[in-house]
Amino acid sequence: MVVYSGALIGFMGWGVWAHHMFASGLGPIADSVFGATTMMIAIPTGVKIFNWLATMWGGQVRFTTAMLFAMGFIAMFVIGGLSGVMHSSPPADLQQTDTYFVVAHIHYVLFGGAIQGLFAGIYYWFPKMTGRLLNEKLGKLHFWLMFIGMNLAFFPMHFIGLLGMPRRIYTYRPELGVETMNLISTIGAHVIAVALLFFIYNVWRSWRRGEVAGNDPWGGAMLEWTIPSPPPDYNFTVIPEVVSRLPRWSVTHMKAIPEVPPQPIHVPGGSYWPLVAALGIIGMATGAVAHTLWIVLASGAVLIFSIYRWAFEPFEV
Amino acid sequence: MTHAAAHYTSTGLDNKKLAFWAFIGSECLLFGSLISTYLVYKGRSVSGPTPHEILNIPVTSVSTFDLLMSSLAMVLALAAVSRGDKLWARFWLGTTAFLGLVFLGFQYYEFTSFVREGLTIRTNLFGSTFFTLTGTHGAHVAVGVLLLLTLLVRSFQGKLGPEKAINVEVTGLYWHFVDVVWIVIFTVVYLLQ
Repeated sequence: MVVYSGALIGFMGWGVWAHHMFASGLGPIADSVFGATTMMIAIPTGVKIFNWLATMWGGQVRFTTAMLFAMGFIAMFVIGGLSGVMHSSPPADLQQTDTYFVVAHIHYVLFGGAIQGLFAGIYYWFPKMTGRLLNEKLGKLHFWLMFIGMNLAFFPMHFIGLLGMPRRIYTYRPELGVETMNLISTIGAHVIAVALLFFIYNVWRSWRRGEVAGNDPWGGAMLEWTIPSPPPDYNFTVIPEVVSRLPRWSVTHMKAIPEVPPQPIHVPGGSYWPLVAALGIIGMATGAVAHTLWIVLASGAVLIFSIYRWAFEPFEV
Repeated sequence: MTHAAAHYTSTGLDNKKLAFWAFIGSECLLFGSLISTYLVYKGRSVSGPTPHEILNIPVTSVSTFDLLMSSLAMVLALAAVSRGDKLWARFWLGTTAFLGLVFLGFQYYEFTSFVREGLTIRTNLFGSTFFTLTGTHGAHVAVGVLLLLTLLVRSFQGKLGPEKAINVEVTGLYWHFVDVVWIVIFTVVYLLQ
């Protein structure tokens, strides 16, 4: 279901883009078509959201920082999605265009949605990437400060926008009555900044002195948790045989992966030539933009030379 | 050094060959977009020269024949390398590269004569789309000649035995692809005016 919905969203996504241009006078036909697809895309998106909720319902939720960010993502993304359905209607959108209401919407989708999703991923896979866990206490502090900060900053913007304050203009008349809400918004922005300082401190500290993660700090279901953290260059000592969609949790256990490769694994040696080749391409493009033939030719020579050196580089094992 | 031959994938194809097919797939998209751009703008030029005023079908037929024959030589080169026949491998690799160079010579003649007759890449829509399409094709032929000459040098170094036939085979895939693209271009641009 999640996959079908994702495919449907990807497909319908081709037919929604003009909803950013309702105010430009596209005409009734384009407005109706793009309005209708924008409303319809909410259906597979809703399916996805109920899938995530059902996944949590069926699971045993542990409130780790990564989980908090994932749940914050769902909640905030729903708010952004609801205001999105509101401006899928062209007449309503005409009222909201270029107001702070649109700014509130984009930030609930982008900050509440994408950014919180990214942080969930960082807290979840940081131990796999570095071998050390991020500090959970600092992480929860980061989450709550950021969650409160973003709602302080972006929720009042809905009202500010509907009251008539245009975006991209920082001055406004006092009789508009939006001073207090703008002040709350500003305070929220600073809270977000403080939250990010805690995050940066957490990364800096945990990278050096964080708790050692081991192969699998979370009891994860997927294959990345069967190998050391950080993973060796060759990743898996043998190609794992997968018999279940949740290989580490399934009753039919997957074959154990040996710690030492049973036979030598060929990993290409490090090489500078791909980088030099890429610089040659940059030089060719720069020369072409500058209308200077000798730069193009010289960079082309660099490109061809480095491709040959790369291709005939001795084979290291 | 000894396990260089063991590059088989679960598909049963050598992974060099698989990668080359994937590359040729992306090349289809590139040439597909350039050919459709040419067709979309066909007959839309505001000023001349137009295709039927300037295209020289007899000369281009000769260069098309030359490129077709180079594909034949490529097939014979692969056969010679596979059976370990060094002399004929060198002869046919050299012939393929030579025929490729002859094609590039024809294209040089065509481009310079067009410019003399007043058609450059910035003259009109026909000029822009024609030179972009055929120029990109010519660049591909030039890369193919470079690959063939590299194989020829490797053969003279004694490093192109039958166990390296896969390198000749993927070069052949590329060369035949470039040839097929030219057949399409010749039909669409030159014959169907």
